Amino acid sequence: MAESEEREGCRVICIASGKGGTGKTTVTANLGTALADMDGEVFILDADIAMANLGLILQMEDAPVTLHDVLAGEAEVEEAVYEGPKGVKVVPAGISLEGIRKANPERLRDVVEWIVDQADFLLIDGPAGLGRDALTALSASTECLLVVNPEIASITDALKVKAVAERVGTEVTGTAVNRVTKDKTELTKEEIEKILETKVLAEIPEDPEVRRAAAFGEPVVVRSPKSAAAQAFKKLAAELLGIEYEIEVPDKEGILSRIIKGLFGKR
Amino acid sequence: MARIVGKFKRLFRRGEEGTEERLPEEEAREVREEALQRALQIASKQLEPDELVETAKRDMSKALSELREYFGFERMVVIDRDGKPIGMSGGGSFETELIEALRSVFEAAETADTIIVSSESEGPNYLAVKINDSIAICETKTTPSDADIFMLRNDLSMVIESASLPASTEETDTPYVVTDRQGLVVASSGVSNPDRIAAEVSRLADFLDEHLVGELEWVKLTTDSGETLAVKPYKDVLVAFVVESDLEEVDEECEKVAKSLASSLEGLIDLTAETSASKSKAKPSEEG
Repeated sequence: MAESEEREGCRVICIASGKGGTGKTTVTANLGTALADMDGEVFILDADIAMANLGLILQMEDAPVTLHDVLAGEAEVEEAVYEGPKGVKVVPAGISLEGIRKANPERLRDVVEWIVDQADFLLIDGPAGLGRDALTALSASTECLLVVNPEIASITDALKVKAVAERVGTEVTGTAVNRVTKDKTELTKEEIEKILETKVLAEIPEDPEVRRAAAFGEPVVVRSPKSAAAQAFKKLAAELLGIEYEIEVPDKEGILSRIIKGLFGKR
Repeated sequence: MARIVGKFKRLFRRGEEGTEERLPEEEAREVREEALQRALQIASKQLEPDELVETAKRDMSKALSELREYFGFERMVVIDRDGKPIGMSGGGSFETELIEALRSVFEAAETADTIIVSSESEGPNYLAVKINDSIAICETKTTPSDADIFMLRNDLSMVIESASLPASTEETDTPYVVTDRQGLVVASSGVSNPDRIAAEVSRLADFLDEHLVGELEWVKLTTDSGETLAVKPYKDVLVAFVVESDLEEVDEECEKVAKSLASSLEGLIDLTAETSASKSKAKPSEEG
């Protein structure tokens, strides 16, 4: 989006799930990067104050100023904004216990207000569970994207997040089902839609490329853009933008390249 | 060379590990359907704010019961600014001292809106939330999360706002006092000193409970001028009232008044639940 164009309202989306380990941070990093690649000014913010990981999977763990410093009143928001892949702006949280102790989650609203003036999209990586930090993240957002795994515990926990979101006046935009293996015991997209009464916007497959990318501190949409997971993230981004997404044909991996990869650990 | 062979072996082993043993089609479907049914059951128990408001408009005690069940509280009571219960659920009697202590804390700490009293042992925990002029006190075995407290505050304020006028303001021809088992007045009409009557009636019920075999069904004290003080115990409360009647008709009259009061108090408190004694006594005749 050109800077000269009139900016419409910033969409503030909380990436939330009740259960831990569903892949919220991975979704935030990849969706943010995919959105930035497609359109507009995109910010991603790590609001998981106690268990910050967004910086880690984007290789920003050594960021000198983080959200914690801002929430502690010791830095301005703009000092904690870093440029990530494809131009996505990242506000990582710190990982020191001292920073966690000093941070006042109530200041998150001010941070969000500042970003809203700069951005078209703000994705907030909310903490798991429904503690005070999660409530703050949810209520600071205008929309909520539920991230679930296709199993009962994850989905029933998401029901509670949805109930809270509705009570804070945050619209539930839809659900991203992460780590889908298509095992026949997994709940299907239609079944998840029936339980959560929200649209499933994307089914992101379980893909070893996601782990590989995270290990190297890169979103999978950048490191393996044609992988199945990357395609799903891009499709999700397109869905949020209301545009069509054309699936890229993945490279066919021959037996020889697989043997070479196995032998020498190369990609 | 050995290193390369080793890598080949690992490569092939990984391939084998990756091939998950699939469940037979039928069994997999069964697993998924079970998960789906359980999830749908949990989904159906979610509280819909709009429906809760509608329930509260018709019957506050039912709305409170729905809230209590959803949050897994053992019992709860909502009191007004004077400490008078305006709704209760789950046998909402609490020690008067506890209620007074919580009210005092809210009064002293003006900005406080939530108090959690927790026990290290297996004893109950208490959650008190202040909503405008009302205070809800809930007994729970678990520690409520921030989200639970947030949702409770949200839903309770809707229930209190939407609820019809408490029945305690309703006037009836028969003077009555509804008290909980601790002697706290839940509702009263046409009685000049309800607190004292509540205290005496609850003490009398305790005394009778202690010294008589079986559960109390009725207490009737009749004077020679044809006045009867009747006390009808329900699950959570005691309803005391006075009737004027001949001795031969006093039982019938008491039943009639109790029924009429239960109907006019509907919405404040569940007076349909009889004591376990009367339930168990009713059984043989139903079966017979």
